Amino acid sequence: MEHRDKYSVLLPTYNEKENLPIIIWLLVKAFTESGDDFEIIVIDDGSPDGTLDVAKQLQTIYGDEKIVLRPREKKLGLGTAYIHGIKHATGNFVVIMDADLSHHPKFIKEFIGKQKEKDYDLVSGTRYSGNGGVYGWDLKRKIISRGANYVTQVLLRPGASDLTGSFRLYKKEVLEKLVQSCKSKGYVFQMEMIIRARQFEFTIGEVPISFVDRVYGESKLGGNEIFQFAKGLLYLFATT
Amino acid sequence: MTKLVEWLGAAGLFVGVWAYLFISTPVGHSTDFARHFVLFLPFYALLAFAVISVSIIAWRVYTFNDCEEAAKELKQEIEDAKADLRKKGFKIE
Repeated sequence: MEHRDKYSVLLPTYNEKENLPIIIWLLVKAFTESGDDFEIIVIDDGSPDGTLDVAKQLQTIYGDEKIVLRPREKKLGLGTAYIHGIKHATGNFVVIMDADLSHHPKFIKEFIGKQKEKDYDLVSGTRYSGNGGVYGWDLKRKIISRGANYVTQVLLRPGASDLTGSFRLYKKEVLEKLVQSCKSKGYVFQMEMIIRARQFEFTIGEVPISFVDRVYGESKLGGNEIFQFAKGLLYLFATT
Repeated sequence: MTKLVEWLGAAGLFVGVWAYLFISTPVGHSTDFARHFVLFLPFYALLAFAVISVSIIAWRVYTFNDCEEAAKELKQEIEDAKADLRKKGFKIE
C-alpha cells in the first residue's frame, strides 16, 4: 500500500473573522492546484469577534475533513496552539503560518518541493534571502528588522537567514519534538525552534517568500517587543 | 559548548595573545607608533567590526525587496475569494 503525503496546515486565529475566509479560500485553491492531500486545522482562541462562527460556515462549505476546528477558551499562546493542533493532525507534515494574509499559500507548493529535494526535516520561509521580501514596511521597520537579524546571526550563527519568520513546513514528529523543547514566547519562540532544530541536528531548507504586512500601521513594533526580543536573544546566546 | 562560552573563549584567546604581544615581544617596549597600535588593537578591532556591521546592515536595508507585486496580487485575490465564497453560500458581512 503506497503511503501518500498529507499536509496539515495549523492556523492559530485570534480576531480574524475578515481574513479567515480569504486564507482558507487561498489554501484550498493552492492545494487543489498542486494536488496534494491536505487539511486545515483552525485553532481559535475564543475570539470575541466571532471568528469561530465564520470557521463553522467555512466548514459547511468545504467539509469537516478539510476544515478541522480545534478551538480553545482563551488566548493561550502559539506553542500550546501548535501542540493542541498537532494532537489531531492526520497529516505526516505540518505547515505553520499566519492567518492574517501576510503569508501566501502559493508558497506551500515550493516548501513541499524543497522538502522533497533532500528530505529536509523542516523548510523555513525566508524574507531575507533570494527574492524573499516584505511589503508595507517603512525605513525604520526595515532597519530594526535587518539590524536585529544581523545581531542574531553574529551571536547565534544559526545557519538560517530568517529566524523570526513563522511560515514553515515541518515533518510532524520534528515539530512535536521541537515544540516540547522550546520555552520562549513571541518572536523568540520561532527563533528558538530553529536553534533547537540545529541542536538536534535536524536538516533545514529555505524558500524565499514575500510577506505582505497589512497591519503594520496598527500594530507598531514597540519598545516592549524589542526588549523581549533582546532578552530572548541573550537567553539563547547563554544557553545554546 | 554554548555560544556564550565560545565567545568567552575567543575573547580570552584574544586577550592572551594581545597581552603576550605587549609584554613579551619587542613591540611592547618599542617605538611609539607600533606600541600605540598594539595597545589600542582591541579598540581598532571593535571599531572595524562596528563599521563593517553598519555597512552590512545598511546594504541589506537598501536591497530589502519591496513586494509590490505580491500586494497587488493579494488585493485582487481577496476580491476573487469574496465573489467565489458568496457563490458558494458564504455570508460575507
